[in-house]
Amino acid sequence: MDFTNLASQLNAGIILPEGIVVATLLVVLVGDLIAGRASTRWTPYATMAGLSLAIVALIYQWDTATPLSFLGSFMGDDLSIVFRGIIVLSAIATVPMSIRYIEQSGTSLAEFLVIMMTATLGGMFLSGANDLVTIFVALETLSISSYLLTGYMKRDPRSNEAALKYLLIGAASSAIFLYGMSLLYGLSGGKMKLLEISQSFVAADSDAPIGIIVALVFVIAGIAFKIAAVPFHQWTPDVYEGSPTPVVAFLSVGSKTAGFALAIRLLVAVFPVVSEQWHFVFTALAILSMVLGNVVALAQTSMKRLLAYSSIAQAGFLMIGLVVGTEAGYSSMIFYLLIYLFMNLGGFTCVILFSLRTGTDQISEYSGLYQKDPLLTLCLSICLLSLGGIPPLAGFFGKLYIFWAGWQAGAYGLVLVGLVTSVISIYYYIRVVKMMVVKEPQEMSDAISNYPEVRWDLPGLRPLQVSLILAVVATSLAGILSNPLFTLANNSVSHTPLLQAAIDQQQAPKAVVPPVATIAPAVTSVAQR
Amino acid sequence: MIPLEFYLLLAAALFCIGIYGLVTSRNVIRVLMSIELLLNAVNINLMAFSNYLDPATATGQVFTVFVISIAAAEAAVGLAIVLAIYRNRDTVDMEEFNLLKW
Amino acid sequence: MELAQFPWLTVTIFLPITAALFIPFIPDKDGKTLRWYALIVGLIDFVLLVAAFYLGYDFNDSGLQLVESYTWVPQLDLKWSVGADGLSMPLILLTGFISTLAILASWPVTLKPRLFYFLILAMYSGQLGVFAVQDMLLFFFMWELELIPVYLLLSIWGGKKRLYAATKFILYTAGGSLFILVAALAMAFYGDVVSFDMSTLAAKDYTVKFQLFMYAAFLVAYAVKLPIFPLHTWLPDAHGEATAPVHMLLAGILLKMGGYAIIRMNLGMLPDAHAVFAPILVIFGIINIIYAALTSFAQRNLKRKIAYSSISHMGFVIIGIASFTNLGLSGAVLQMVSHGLIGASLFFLVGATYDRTHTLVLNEMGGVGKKMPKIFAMFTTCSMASLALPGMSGFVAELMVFVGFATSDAYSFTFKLIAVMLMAVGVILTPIYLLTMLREIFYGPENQELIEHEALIDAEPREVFIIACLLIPIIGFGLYPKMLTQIYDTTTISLTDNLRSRAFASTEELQPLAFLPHLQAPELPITAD
Repeated sequence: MDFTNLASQLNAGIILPEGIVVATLLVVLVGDLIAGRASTRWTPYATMAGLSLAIVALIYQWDTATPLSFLGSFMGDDLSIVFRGIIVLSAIATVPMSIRYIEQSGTSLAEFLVIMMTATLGGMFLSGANDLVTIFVALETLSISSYLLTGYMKRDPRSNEAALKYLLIGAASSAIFLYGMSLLYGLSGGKMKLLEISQSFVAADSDAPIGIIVALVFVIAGIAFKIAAVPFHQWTPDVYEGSPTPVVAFLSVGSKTAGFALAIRLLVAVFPVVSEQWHFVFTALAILSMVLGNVVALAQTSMKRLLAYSSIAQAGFLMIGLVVGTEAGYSSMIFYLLIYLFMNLGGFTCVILFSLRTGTDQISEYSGLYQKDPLLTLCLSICLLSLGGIPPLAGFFGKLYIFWAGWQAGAYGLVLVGLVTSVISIYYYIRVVKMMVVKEPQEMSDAISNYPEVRWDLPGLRPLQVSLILAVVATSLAGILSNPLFTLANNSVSHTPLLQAAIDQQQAPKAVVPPVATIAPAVTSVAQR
Repeated sequence: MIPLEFYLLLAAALFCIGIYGLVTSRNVIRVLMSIELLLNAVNINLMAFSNYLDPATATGQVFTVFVISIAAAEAAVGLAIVLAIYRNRDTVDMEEFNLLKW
Repeated sequence: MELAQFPWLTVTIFLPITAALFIPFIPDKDGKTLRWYALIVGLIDFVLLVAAFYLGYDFNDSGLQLVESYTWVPQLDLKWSVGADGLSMPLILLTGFISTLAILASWPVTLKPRLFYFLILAMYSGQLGVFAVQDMLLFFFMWELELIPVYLLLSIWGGKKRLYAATKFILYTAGGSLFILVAALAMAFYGDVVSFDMSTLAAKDYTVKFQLFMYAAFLVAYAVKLPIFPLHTWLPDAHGEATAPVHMLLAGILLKMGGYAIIRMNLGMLPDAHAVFAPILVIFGIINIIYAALTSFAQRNLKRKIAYSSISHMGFVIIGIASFTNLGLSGAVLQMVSHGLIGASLFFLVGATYDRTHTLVLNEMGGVGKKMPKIFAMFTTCSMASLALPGMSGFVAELMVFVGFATSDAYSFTFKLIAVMLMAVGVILTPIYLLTMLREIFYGPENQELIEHEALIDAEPREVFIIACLLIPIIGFGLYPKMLTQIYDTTTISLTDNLRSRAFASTEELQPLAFLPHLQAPELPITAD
């Protein structure tokens, strides 16, 4: 086998976006080594440029004819492109947030960017990973970099503690996940590729055997940890509170998106045999996440903890889309993730800006902000209200689509729980808005009465301002002008053979032929095209 | 020849010991060691499956190599974080880490 | 003809909110430019509404007119579809009229004027939207759009307990609106066609059981808004704390949203269920009238007194809706418009009195009539209108409901007799509390403390103008109700015909249905009393 033949078999062009990220990572790393401290002036922009280039590369790969690469280890279908795009976008948005934040803490910016890009890389590979080894390596790339990011403020004991907790729980959960994967490997008789595993399960033709269920339980524990679903959420509030805020922003969107990508691919591809069981488990996880996330958020006093619980609850809403498993269900989930990207990152940008100016994250310290900084108040209000699902902001349409899809698929209970808990969520989001807007001048908090003059010309604030305004504009308009996003989400589902097969199976669950037998060859035939 | 089940039982036992250590240890280093036990249980599983079910391609053994190397990376990061926290707090006792509400 | 094709409703809905977006950029030093800007926008919009009414609206057509429909989000089947029939047209005009007057009434507002006028204009759009849209999802969107402006208007510019009142308002309304979405989804996915279009939904053939569930869901949502006992408790708090212009909007328009929606959805789309629920509605209407009148009697706070009188008046709307006669339904619509005008004028006068006395507690007033004769005169006139003095619109409306209900053939004679007698008790109670209120404020010995401490200046021309504007239609409709009824008569007649044909026809042919005896000889708790 000569080299060109091998290269064409590998179809390495599919991971061009990842290649661009790696190249950027190296440029930033080496540039920082050579230029030293002076490099802070250009590294963030180089990072953003590189990541944007990766987005462009992703766009060019849309609907590619041969999505399968590396002999079936990596799948570049439209679904993975959307997820990779969301992860890269969240990384791009994190960069401007972190410039000023990292500078103020006196640590090195370039290293932060390098670790963050590594995490992005891990997330991207995870979105397209198509065999067990790739999944594991990508997952660990993402996780280990996340631990490092969490503990990046190494002189701050809170950051240390958050990192330690994250690491211990994360490592334990990925070990459990790995144990589940080793069982999958054994049960399938030594298969690594996801579709081969499911084919061998179908070939064995036993009705939901206990071994597969045990493997499923282990695997779900790993996934649920990554998407912070209740009851695997305990790390979330602590890590969110202790970590540097830009890292939290990235974790809450990028890392969570990667978790959902993993969930879709792994569950849909490997576990059609026990489809009823995992749907049941995820229904329970979704209900628990929505209820607990929203209810506990009511009692929070720290803004970052509030957002942590809110992100748990949002994951619950997202899981509705996963559970219903129809075309609209998957699309609504992707659509919500796209919107969640804007509104959550916008919200975090505001929180960072506030803590840069006042040095605190307590909700009570926000009282009276409207008097001193109307722009920040407006932006944070819009992002929070959008998270709460108030029209005409983007979050309303996101939730509407999820509930619409849920109802269409007959998941009435889930939709009702979602509706009730989203009414509860309005209460705590609006509590923050009330703090900022309603309080009279005499009720101002100490932080607000000593609020520094609003200046945007400090180093690093200009990009923050730009990204904040972009996020807020997107949050306000992405709902009203949501057609392109809807189309994108729908296309990514309808152009992905894996999901199409699963949807067909869903629609004809009582077929006489074991349904997977019809799916798997169909998928592989498309994949091998 | 030893049956496959024996290896699996060994792995399961090791996994349970690891979980037990994870839950009961107060010292962070011990917790990290327990996680290594979990990963080694996985390794035994993979090796056994690879040897008995998939001797031709031995992908399980390749997987094991990946697991070992990543476990090393994880341990390195973990110890680095432990070191940082030890410098700040002068302790590696889990119960002392209570700055963040658990 | 080009005028007919002009998108009247869309333009009028979007004009205020679009204009509101420019408010942050208007140079304004003393707060005067802003209020003129808002007033002019309000006026232009009202003029456009009137123009639309004259040029594009035909009294003799019972169907939708001024229809526009554009696809918005095809994936959700969400359409921007607006239109007006006899039911919505008077309320749309009322909204334009009251909102414009409310802007004029907010002249004294000096606190955060930018935010205030922004919210008022946003509300303007939202309220027009609620009455004009013809798509259930869009209706839900508009309904929810109202939440945040009203919340902020209550919580920033309200009285002492404003935060409590605002939170109560938002939780009640958000909780209620959840039922709208559930019912809308359920109805849209019923049968083969998935559609949210109101006329399509109305034409679907639902089973009676399904209708009952939907009816109950809608009723809960709209009972909060109207309000119907026992879901009314947010209203005295919200109305008791609101500032005068907000108050005018709340009483004048917001309450009518509930009545409008009950007629449009419960009565128009679910006629079979309406037949079952109608006796219950009558009972609730009577409870509303008597309970609220008695409670109003006991209130010492002026605003709460008037708030309860609003609840009492809404009871007539409910009974009119449940009367199964065109006269009753027509009376209900007339009562909504009439109460919109009277309620707004009374609340405005309460605000004007408060501006002078700085107290709302009746015990601290007394004998102010001498110092403020014009306000005294206006207050008396409006109270007379409220207690349904012949010659004013309230009298005609209540009389129509009375006669309509009394001549209804849907209820047994005993039921009608008792109901009418109880209603009459309510009608007697109203003058008692209103006249007592007048006596306590204006007559009697002057309250020395009040006279010494407050400057009791008489009404300024702006206030006289506002009241005059409101009184002209009140008296006009009172003397010549056909002016108003001709707008909507064709629509109410077709609604009643549809209702009667469906409700009575189905009771005859479907034997086992339990509600046949209910309609003819109700064995209801009220008869047992």
